[in-house]
Amino acid sequence: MIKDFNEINTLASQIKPLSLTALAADEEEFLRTIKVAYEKHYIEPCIIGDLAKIQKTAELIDFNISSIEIIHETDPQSIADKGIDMLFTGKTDIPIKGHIPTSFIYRSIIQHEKALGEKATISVNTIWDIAGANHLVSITDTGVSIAPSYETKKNIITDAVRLMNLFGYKKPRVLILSAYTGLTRMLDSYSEARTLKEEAAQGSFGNCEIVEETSLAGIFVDKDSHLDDLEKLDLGSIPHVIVVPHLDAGNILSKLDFVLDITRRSVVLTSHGPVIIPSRSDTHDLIVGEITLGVVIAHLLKRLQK
Amino acid sequence: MITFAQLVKKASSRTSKPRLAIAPAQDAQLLKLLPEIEAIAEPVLIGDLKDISSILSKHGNSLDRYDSIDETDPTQAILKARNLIIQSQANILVQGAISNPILRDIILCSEDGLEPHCFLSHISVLESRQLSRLVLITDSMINRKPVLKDKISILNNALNLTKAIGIDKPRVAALAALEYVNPSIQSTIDAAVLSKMADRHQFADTIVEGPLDIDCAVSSQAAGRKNVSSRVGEEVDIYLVSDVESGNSFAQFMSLLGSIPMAGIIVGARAPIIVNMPYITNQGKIVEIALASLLYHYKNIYV
Repeated sequence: MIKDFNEINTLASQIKPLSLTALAADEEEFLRTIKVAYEKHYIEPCIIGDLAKIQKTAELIDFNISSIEIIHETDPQSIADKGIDMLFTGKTDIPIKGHIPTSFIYRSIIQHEKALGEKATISVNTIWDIAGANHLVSITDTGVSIAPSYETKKNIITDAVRLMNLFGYKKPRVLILSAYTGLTRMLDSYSEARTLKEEAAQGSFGNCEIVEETSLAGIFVDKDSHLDDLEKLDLGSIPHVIVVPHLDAGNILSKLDFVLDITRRSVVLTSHGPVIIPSRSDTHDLIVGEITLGVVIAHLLKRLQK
Repeated sequence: MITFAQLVKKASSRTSKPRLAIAPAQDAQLLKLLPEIEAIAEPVLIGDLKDISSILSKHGNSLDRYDSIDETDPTQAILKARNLIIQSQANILVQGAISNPILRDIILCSEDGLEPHCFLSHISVLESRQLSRLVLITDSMINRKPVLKDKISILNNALNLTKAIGIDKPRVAALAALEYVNPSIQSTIDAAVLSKMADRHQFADTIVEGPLDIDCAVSSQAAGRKNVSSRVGEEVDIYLVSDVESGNSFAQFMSLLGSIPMAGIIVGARAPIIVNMPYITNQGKIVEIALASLLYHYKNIYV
């Protein structure tokens, strides 16, 4: 079981570099990330984007790209399509979003999945390494579905469970978040959580357990008692997967690493491998970490296929 | 930064103390805290006096010291508390040992409850050392799917509280999933409208920036990388969220994962209402009463 990002980094450095395709890597911070990951032997990069811009930026950051394959393309949808096609045809292990809007990449992934009859929806898993938790936590979906339907939530859970299984969590515990406290009328998120729990018990989402609680507070304190001390919470009791009710909530929660003692890395797990989706606000240190996550996921998937 | 201790001190220093209707008062946490509560407000205990007396004696206290009303039925107890508020014989309502749905039906959603002409919302208040300030998150408990008109009321409720606690020119981040307007995401549109309303001084001196996603709201560096020029910088006092799902989880995750002390209060009714949530510590409960007291005193908006 992979417990934290240190283990991810260590594993990524121990395995043979995997093929990473950068989608629009003409921005300085992002290309520097590719350079660092390449120099650390995590990846063998390929870059799709505006050749002239890439060359100019590479010069600026002293990155020798003479031995790196560069596919010239300027249209953002074509960049996304080419990169995702490479993933689905086995020509690359990990596409990563560069300086193009995420929607182009999501659209391309969904089209590829639909064409193969694999999946109708995709989701972003934001993986947290929380100080003191002693295990990884996936927050999902933090990037794609604005207001996921019940059916979409089922796919979101299945994806997250598959990912946590891959990390060695045999039966991840899943928390379906809802703000229902009894002070409002019933919320869909709460009634759906009840039904999803029943479906999970029948094995609908793979090997997992949906917990009874529907809030983080419910994990730490019984509804008939009171919290004594915020400093003494057992963070190890946090479930392995936290399903958010909608995109607004997911965006807030997934980026609490800006305030709290949490490290974040985000990934879309397609039927053919990981796609790394850094936030535009991420620094290159953070994105290098996200690349190691992609490398390890791709590696574990290959091992599973063997 | 304003601290919880300062708020409690400020509330305790007032010479006139609001009357606090606690119902049903047979709640061990509340009764244990009565000596500290008394420094801020004058409790009126409504409930099963036999049980209340028994709990108080365990804490070396006595029922004789308090105004009280004997009512063994919890629903009737909360109704009597409501009546005290309506008759101005009490100024703050505190939920004791009664379930949330009953409180909702009697107090929050009833025609003769405490909100006949008002707009209720819940505000979570966090004492965040990480952000070096007192942070308000709203609405974190009441409104399921607030539309723009509701969000205006939610914001005005929060602005009353900021002024009551001494934040003169509050800075507001109207949060959404994106930092730019996306016609498919209503929260981005609402946030942009609220921001424009603030530009036109429709919220007095308040600066409202939106839409902002959370990273732009808490990190100038992140905002810079996204080319977002934000007037609230890293000095946000109020995080106005899109709905209760966002607000509730935001507040809980901040407090529980960041060990950030938290309190909460329902505002907008005839009187401030303090609800009974398991994740509020004893210290948080005292702060809640202090917040309610300061709000009560603020320009006598509840008189």
